[in-house]
Amino acid sequence: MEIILRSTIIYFFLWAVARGVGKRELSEMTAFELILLVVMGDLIQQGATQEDMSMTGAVLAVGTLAMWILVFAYLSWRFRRLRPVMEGVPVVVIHNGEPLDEVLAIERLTLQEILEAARNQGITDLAEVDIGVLEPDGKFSFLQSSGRSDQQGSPEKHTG
Amino acid sequence: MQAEADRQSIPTQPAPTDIPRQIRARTGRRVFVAALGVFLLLGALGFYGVRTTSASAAGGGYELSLDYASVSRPGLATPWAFEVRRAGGFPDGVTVTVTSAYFDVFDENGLGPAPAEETADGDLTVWRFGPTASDTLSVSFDARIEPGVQLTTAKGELSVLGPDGRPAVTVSFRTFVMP
Repeated sequence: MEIILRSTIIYFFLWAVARGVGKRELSEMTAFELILLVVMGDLIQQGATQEDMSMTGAVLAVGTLAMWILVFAYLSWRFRRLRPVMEGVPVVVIHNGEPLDEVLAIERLTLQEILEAARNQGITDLAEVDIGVLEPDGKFSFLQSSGRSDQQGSPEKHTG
Repeated sequence: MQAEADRQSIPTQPAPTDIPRQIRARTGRRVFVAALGVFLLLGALGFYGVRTTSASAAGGGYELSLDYASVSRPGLATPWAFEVRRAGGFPDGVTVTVTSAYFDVFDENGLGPAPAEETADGDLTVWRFGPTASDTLSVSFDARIEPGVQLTTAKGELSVLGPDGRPAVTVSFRTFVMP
C-alpha cells in the first residue's frame, strides 16, 4: 500500500512540476537539464521504492504511474473542461506575421526562438505566417498564408 | 531533369485504417489495463507483503504467541516477535529454541532484549533469557529480508522448553519472499 501511495504522490508532484515550469521548458533540454532529469529520476526512485528492492515493488511503482497516466488521459478525453488544466492550452504567439510581444514575454520566449522555429520549417519571413502557435507540449505550429501548416520539434535554446 | 524523372516514388501514406484490427488492439489494451488494475488493487490490499500473521499455542503452563510475516519482499523490514506468558513469571528464566535456517533470509540487526545465553544445537538456535518477575517476556527480532533473496519460503518452529528441557509449547511459521 505504501509504495502505491508514494508513487501516487510523486506522480501528482511531477505533473505539477511539468505544468508549472511552462511549455518552453518542456520542449527544451540543455545538457545541464538532462543531468538534472537523471538526478531527479534517481531521487524519485528512492522516494517511491525506498528500501524495497523487489521486482514486485518496482512493478507496483511503475504500474501506479502508468495507471495515473491512463486516468489523466481518460479524464482529459471525457471532460473537455478539464483539458486546459490537465494538459494546458495552445497559445498564439504570431498573428498575421506579427510576433505578439506580450504573449512572448508571458511564455518567456525570445524572438530568436520563434525565428529559428520558423527557419526549421522553411519559412523565410514571418510575414508568410498567418498564425504561429506554441502548443501545450512546447512545440511550435505555423499556419501559413498558403494554407500549409507546419509543426516543428523542440526549439534550440537562445539567449537574448 | 532526367535524374528527377528517374526518381522512384515512395509513398509516405500509412496503410488504410483496419477498423476490426483497431478494435482488437483496443480490447487487448483494455484487458491489460484491467489486469494492471487488479494487480495494483491486490498490492494496495497488501497481498504482496509485508503481510503480518500471528500464531499462538499454549502448553506446559506457557502461552506462546508469535507475530511474523507470512509474505514479505527483499529489502523490507519484516516483523518477527514473540511473547511468552506464564502465571507467576519466570523465576528461573526461560529457554526458547528456534529453527536456525529460518534466519538465513534476513539481514539481522539484533534481538531485543538480548538473550543471556545463545547457543546453536544442530538445526536449532537456543536462547536463554534470565529470570524476570513479569508474567510476560516479549522479544522482537529486528531484521530485513536480504536483497538477493526472492521466491523463497523460509519456515521454522519456535518452542519454549519446559523444566525437563523438552519443548513445552511450539508454534510453526513460514514466510514467503516475493520476487
